[in-house]
Amino acid sequence: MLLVTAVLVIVLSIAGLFAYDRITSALTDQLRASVAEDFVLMQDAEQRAGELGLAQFITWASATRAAPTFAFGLFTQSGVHVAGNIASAPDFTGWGTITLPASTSEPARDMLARAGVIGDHVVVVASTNDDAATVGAVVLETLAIAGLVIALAGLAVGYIASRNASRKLRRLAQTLESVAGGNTAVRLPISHRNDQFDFVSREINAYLDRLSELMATLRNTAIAIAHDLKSPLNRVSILLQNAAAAGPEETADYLDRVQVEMDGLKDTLDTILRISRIEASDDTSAFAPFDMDEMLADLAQTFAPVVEDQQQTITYSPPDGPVSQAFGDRRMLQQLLVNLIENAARYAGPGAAITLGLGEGDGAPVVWVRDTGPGIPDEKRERVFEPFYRLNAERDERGTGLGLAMVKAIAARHRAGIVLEDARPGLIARLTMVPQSAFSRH
Amino acid sequence: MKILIAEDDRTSAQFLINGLSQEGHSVEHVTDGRDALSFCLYNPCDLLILDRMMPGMDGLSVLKALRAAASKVPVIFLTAMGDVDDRVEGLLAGGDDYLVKPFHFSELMARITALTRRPQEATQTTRLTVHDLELDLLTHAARRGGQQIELLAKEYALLEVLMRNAGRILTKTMLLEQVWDFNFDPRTTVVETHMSRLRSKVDKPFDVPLIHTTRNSGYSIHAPR
Repeated sequence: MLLVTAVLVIVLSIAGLFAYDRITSALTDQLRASVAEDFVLMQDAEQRAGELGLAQFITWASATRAAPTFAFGLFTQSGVHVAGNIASAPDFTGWGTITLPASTSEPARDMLARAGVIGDHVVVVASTNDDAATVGAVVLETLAIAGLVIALAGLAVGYIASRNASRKLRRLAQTLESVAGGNTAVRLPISHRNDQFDFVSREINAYLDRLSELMATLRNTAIAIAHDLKSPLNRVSILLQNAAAAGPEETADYLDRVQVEMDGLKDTLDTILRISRIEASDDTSAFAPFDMDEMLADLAQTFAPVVEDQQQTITYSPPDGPVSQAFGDRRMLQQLLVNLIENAARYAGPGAAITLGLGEGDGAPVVWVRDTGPGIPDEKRERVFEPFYRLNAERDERGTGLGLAMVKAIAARHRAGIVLEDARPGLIARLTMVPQSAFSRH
Repeated sequence: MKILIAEDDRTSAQFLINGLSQEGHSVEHVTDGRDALSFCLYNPCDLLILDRMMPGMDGLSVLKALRAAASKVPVIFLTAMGDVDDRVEGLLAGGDDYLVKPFHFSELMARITALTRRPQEATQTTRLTVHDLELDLLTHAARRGGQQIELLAKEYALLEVLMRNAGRILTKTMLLEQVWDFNFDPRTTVVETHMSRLRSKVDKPFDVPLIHTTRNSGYSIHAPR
């Protein structure tokens, strides 16, 4: 800050001196021009009226234009004073300086003078450059005061700004420290100024929101995982104890069952990892446009024989009008739809009809999976998206409890909306996608 | 076949060495990424089984260095990192297949077989034949013993993949990838159901079954032996 002020002062000084020099030299030039002009007038007078004319002009000029600005003198070649208010002949010709002796009313002062010969006489015209000096002094003074004011103002503004900035930075650091210390609830204040600090603070707050959301999910998930992994591990332990006590043939059977349990555990862990990685990333480099109609037709064909074995049906009726292309990770979205279809098949019960549908949303497809099963009570339709949440209090061993958590993660990665609604009767899961343009960088 | 296993976990490595040796392969083992690279550069092998995370040099870097040195050795990645992105990354770096730990040994064997025979496969063929079963790849028509078999789209796709790999075991995971493009394991019996539908059309009406199930590993199609 001080350095900036010092530089400012130096720059202002240089500019001031330059201006002073220009102004004084302009005024001096003007003075010289005026003196030169008088010279011409005197030459003119001498030519028209000779020595007398010259003397008259000088007498007149001394009387009317003289003190304190101008002074005139007319001398013989030998230096005898003839006329005018300059008393002694100059010791130079051309431009020079003469000092007028102090009078009773005036102090002695230096004057810019020009001496020259007109006819048989020596003529001196002098003029004070007091004006130039005075104006220069005034300019210099003005510039000095202005410079001082600007420098002080600069220092003050800078000080306030930096104090403000460092206060905000300190607060930022304190907030982040507090977050690192475990308090994820703190947020940075946003002022009404909308300056860079507010912009950064808003970004940081958004990150903190996401962080606390992630941490809350993580905490809940960790508890749920621990809980959910305990029961298969328990079963494995029992199976292994049985195997140890059993005969050779039974042992193989027990070990097969251990293998099944272990596969299930692996599946669960893989799914958890996959969900967390889908949630953690917002990389869309693998996203591409694709035909949703084709995917739904394909899925209906794939699952028709599967649900038929449970006396269920699955049908896909293509949309009436044209539908925009979907944009996203094809395989990921396929998994999302498979999870929804399998949920419907699992919970809608025998005889249920599952229908897949496609419609046009806001420049992107809307996809739904509908069943005619018992549905989900209003108050639980949000909760079922939580990892390991199971609709029925009794342990439902048919699923990992992660199917809808995966659906939610994939939808979020695609910025798509996913809702469960009452289909009266049954349940409808509706995925509202967003167009490709929504992913382009702002 | 000469196989190099690059795996720092002793238990996993021993499991692989035992299994592959029993299958009649000659197996070498290193526990460090740099050793794997230098071994492969100076000792020609037929297959490299490469762990992703190893001391010295990670598997991906080993593979990139190998490919940069113009080595064409087939590589199967083994990893605990099972996400799709890892998989794509591994395949992009020049890996030929990818297996997520823990895995069934049969899954690895099936993939090794598929991988090491792949280059010989004729891609220009328009007709596949197994015993008396014929599949026309252009018209999608299936015939067995001169009898026309009506197949649904997914059944046809399944049969084509089986017949292209006739004599080899295909695991459920491989079928899900190749027929359905699923990179995850659905909860429902998608493969089993379609396989059972296919069998009821291809095998049931005939005396000799062609599609075989290998317990705990997968399916294969082959002529009676």
